[in-house]
Amino acid sequence: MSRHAREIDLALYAAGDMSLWNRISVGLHTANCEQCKARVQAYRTDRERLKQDASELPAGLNWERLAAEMTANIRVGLAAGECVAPRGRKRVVAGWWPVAAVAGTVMMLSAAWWLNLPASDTQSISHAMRGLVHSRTVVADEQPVIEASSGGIKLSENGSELQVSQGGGARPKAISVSTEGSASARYIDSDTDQITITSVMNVQ
Amino acid sequence: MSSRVIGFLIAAAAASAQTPSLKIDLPKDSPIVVLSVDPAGSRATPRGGAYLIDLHASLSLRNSSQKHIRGVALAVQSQEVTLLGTKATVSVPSMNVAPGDAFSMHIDQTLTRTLRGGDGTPSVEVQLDGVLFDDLSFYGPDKLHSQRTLTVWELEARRDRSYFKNLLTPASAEALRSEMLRQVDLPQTRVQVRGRATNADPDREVQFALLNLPDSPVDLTGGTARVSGDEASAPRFDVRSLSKRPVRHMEIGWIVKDQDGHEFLAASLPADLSLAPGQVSQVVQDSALRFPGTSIQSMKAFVSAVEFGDGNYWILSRKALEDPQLRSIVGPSPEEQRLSQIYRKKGLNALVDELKKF
Amino acid sequence: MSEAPGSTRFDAVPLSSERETRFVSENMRRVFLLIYRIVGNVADAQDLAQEAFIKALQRRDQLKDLDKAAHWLSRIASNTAIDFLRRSGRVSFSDLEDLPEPFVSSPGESPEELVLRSEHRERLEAGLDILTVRERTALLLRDVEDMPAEDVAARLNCSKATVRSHIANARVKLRRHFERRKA
Repeated sequence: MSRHAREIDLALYAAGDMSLWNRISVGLHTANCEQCKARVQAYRTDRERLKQDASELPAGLNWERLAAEMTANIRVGLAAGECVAPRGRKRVVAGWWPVAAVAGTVMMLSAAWWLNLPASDTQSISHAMRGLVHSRTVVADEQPVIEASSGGIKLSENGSELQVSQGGGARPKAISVSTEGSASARYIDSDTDQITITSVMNVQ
Repeated sequence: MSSRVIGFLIAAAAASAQTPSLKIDLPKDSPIVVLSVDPAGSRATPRGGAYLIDLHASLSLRNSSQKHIRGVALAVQSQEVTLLGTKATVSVPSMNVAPGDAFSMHIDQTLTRTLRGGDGTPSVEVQLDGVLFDDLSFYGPDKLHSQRTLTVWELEARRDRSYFKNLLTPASAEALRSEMLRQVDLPQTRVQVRGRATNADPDREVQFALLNLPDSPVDLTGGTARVSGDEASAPRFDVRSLSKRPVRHMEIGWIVKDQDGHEFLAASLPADLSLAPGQVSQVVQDSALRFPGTSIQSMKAFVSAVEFGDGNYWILSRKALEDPQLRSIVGPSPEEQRLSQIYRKKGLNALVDELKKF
Repeated sequence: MSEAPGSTRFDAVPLSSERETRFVSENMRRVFLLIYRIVGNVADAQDLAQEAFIKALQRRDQLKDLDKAAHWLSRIASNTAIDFLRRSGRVSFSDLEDLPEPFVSSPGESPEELVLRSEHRERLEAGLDILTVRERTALLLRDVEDMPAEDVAARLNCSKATVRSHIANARVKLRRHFERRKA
């Protein structure tokens, strides 16, 4: 080992995030190097400080109110996830505000309904929800798909299909796609040698 | 920008065919003007469950500006294409049209639409999206990012012409000939792009092998994507600016190696970002690429183009393209293909004459 | 109660057992803060924390013992936050949003204690701001959640060596940040 241990080694050593051999090696060095020992201690202090500071809530946050709101939304979300997403959809609605906005109103009205249900009904609803298993595959056919191939460019969406190709069945000299949702095909005019590039892009 | 509309009706060629209408819409101050439109042979025909629109239009245009035109991009909108929320462009790069000269553009497209919705009356409208001049100034609404694409093509064209011209000495016409003969048509792999993955539980997260080229102003410092069989999704890259200029856009080339060891350029990943000199950032996208019939074994990535905040660009140099990891993967530029076509059809002298024009 | 035709009724469902209620209440603050440190703003952290709990409760059959769910829940939470950053298409180190709630202090805190807490919070937030998302996430999972490095690697879908690199880089950057502030 060089005169001092590497900074990243000291950073790892401070929390024991090293293989046994490296731990022994760095440990032996720091036992005889006050500077590196001080660095290790600084990293340990940072770790403690991080743990402490990370438990601090953001400035000005009313935690009790936020926690109550979140708990309510979780309840509604469990129910809404069943109502909104048919079996087979992977994702629960990611943005909660629209769901919560509707559900907030309905909650008030339905709380009384729930409480007045016979116990057997509430248990069976809960049981049904508990037993529900969501498939993990997205239903993908509602997405637009752009495809580029030696035949040209094809766009598919919701069962509709659009193909863009060069007249006369000419094959493109090059094709390319962009992850932003576009595809291009390059053709050369056999008479003029002019290059023409046809692109299709999804602007939704 | 007010419109000057020139409308042409195309007579039905067959009793069963519909009559598509073709409308060319250029602004009053457009640097190109339409001299004539020949729509010969265009027709729209129902075929079983689909509708076939054969659009063949030769546009004769004139450069009415005071500068040489290097590229033109037209937006072609048909009811069918627009119905699905898409736009199409027809672009011609590598032009050299002097002020006052006429030039032609061909819109040669076959649009096949499955019969769902719409009122069944096909119509096509052509609008100008942009014109690039030899001083790299641009005119046009640029709704379809044609300024960026035309500029990058033009810079590649200059790079390649300069390279080929340097091969031209009395003693080494042979070097130029060899270079032309090196060009091969790269095999084309079928690629699908969609907004998000179809499989929410990908097999694995794969790290990109990063190709950082020596003179690139932006380095890739990390990159992963989720991979499942023939689909790769959710690419994310850590990037670091090495430039003294702010960066506002970059393109990342995405290379895939399949189960047979065949490597190909799968896609380009464009990213708008605000990267100050020396800054690090991340590029994260939720899109998915699928390669039907191919199993993804590994992936590489490289920075292929950068747009700086001052409007200048960086593109791959010829030297970078000679890198063995890129040589057989990154295809020739449009200009290189055009020059190669001239060589193959007309020979070395025609190629040399063409190079001397610029 | 009448319904408009075709509408969907969302019925509030109490968390179905006392254990599940305790599961949520005991972990909520920790999960919220973990996600908040990753995404950087309260509104998104709230949405994502809710989403994480929903996912966890929907998958409760995967977990034999709810009482030992801390790491499992942290995994779901960090995954949810990272997926969100991916979906949003860009990572940004955003400042705290202006909060609609008035400032709330803990009873019995002196002004000096309030200032100190505020300084610590600001110091931490500035420090986390300079890390990449992966460094920040790895650091939070390892040093705050006390998750073993192997589990952090599994969560971030990378090798143990890579996650060690993230953790080391994060710690070194944070140390240098603190030293600069002190200077």
